[in-house]
Amino acid sequence: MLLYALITSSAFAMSNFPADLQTDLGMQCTATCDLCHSSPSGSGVPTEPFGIAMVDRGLTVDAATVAGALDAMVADAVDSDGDGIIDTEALAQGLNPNPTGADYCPVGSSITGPVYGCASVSASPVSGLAGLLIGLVALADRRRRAAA
Amino acid sequence: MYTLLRGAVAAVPTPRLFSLPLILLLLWSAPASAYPFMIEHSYTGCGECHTDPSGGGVLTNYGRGQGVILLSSVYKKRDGEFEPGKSKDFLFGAIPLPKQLALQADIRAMLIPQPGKVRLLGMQNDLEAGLDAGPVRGQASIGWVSEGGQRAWLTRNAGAGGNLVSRVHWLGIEPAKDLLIRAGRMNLPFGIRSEQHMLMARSFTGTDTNKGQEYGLDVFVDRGKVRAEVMGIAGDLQVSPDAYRQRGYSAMVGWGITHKLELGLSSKITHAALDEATRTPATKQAHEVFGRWSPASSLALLSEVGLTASDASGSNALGTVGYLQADFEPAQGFHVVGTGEWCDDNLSDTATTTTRGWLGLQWFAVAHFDVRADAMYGTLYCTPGVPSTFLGMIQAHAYL
Repeated sequence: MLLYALITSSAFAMSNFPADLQTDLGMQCTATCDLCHSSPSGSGVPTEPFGIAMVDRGLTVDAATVAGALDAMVADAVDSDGDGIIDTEALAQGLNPNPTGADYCPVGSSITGPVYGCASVSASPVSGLAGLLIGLVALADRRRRAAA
Repeated sequence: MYTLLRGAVAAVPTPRLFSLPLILLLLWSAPASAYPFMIEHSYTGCGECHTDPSGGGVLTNYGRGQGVILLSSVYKKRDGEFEPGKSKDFLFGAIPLPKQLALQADIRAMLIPQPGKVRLLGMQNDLEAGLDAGPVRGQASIGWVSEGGQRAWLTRNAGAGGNLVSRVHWLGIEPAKDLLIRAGRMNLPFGIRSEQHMLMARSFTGTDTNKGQEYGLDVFVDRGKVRAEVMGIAGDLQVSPDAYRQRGYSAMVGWGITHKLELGLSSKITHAALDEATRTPATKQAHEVFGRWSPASSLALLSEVGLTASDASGSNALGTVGYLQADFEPAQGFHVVGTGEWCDDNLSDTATTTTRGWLGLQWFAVAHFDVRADAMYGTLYCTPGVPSTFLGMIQAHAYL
């Protein structure tokens, strides 16, 4: 029962920060690790202004703290590079909010980060897959009736 | 068909009863489709049970049978003539399929307990097809994920609603017995194929079964005790622009010294004009030894030890990754899995090497269904210097 207690009381998920930031801010591509870290692979504690500001506003390794820290960044209008664009808005635009470092995938720029997927969609694609499964079940039912 | 089963499969263990508290605990348990612990049943290879000769994904008719006979818990005594019948088949036999075609639906969901809430992840909702028609073989999958798995996306929906994914789609020919040449999108031949895609030996080397697939040309050879596979990587065509596609090779060779012991080597070198993580040109290497050993009935030991290298951002970083995992099956269908891992992306810097320990309970409760709970202490990814912490997850997996 120790394992059960461990899981239900103290365990949580550590964040995949680039993916979480992309989702939370609606970024067209993921930021690189140097958004927060001096190491290109993301090792070590955050050393860049954006990362430090997020930690100051409650970010931990727990994925659940990402959204709260971002909300606090907005509330405090944190602008790490002082360009007049707050950090969260800069990221949403694909810009690097730190004083140094390359932008990620600026809107309207020919420089883009990696883009995943073959075709853009404007709605959830789950309905198409659900339709496929429903069709499969209907086919099974038809064959069962035919066999009967 | 690949003749990878050498020797008799172990007898089905005697059914045992679980205590109620243990059952209650296991109902909260967690994940698993390529099961390398099957070496405890003398399977040193994978092609007997999977369309992909290196394992994972669509099961063969034989593999579906073993899923009932060997994987799942047994509640009634079976005689030596036990046959699973239609209970093993796709949709329990509701749709008769031609013997050349295999269909499979995989559903895998994860619950992550967090303070004040529980996070639900739709990890895998795949419909898969396997083709084995004379010299022609093939496999394809299509599915949906609620989040993550970007490299396998077919659709491009960054908002809510998730995306369609296709992890594999390949077509191959068998010009000779135990030789398969195939092209398409497939899992990389590297190390021990495992559904535990968060193993750092998988995620850090980019060889996991969740999103590590690449397009390319692949040759698989099975020569009795030795199986070998080499893949020329043409890049992931589901990632754009082209500069982010890595090209190179990935290869493995495994030697089944006995029915209970396999040792192997893996190697992978790729280059991308722009590395996804650093946006710089990068050549990445990973080379390792791996082993699977079943020293006693119901016990399998798995290990990989590797060296990595990367020149991303001009770093010329030499690293290491590896793990030792023990899978103990005290009663058929119930597994206790203990794992110790390490990973360091740069041995020359001062950041503390990432280490992680985790304990998992996995229960193949009935045919086509398993649950699993894992408790970890460490970090989610290979991030030396980041403090360790606890995390837990509960998974449920069903295939039809």
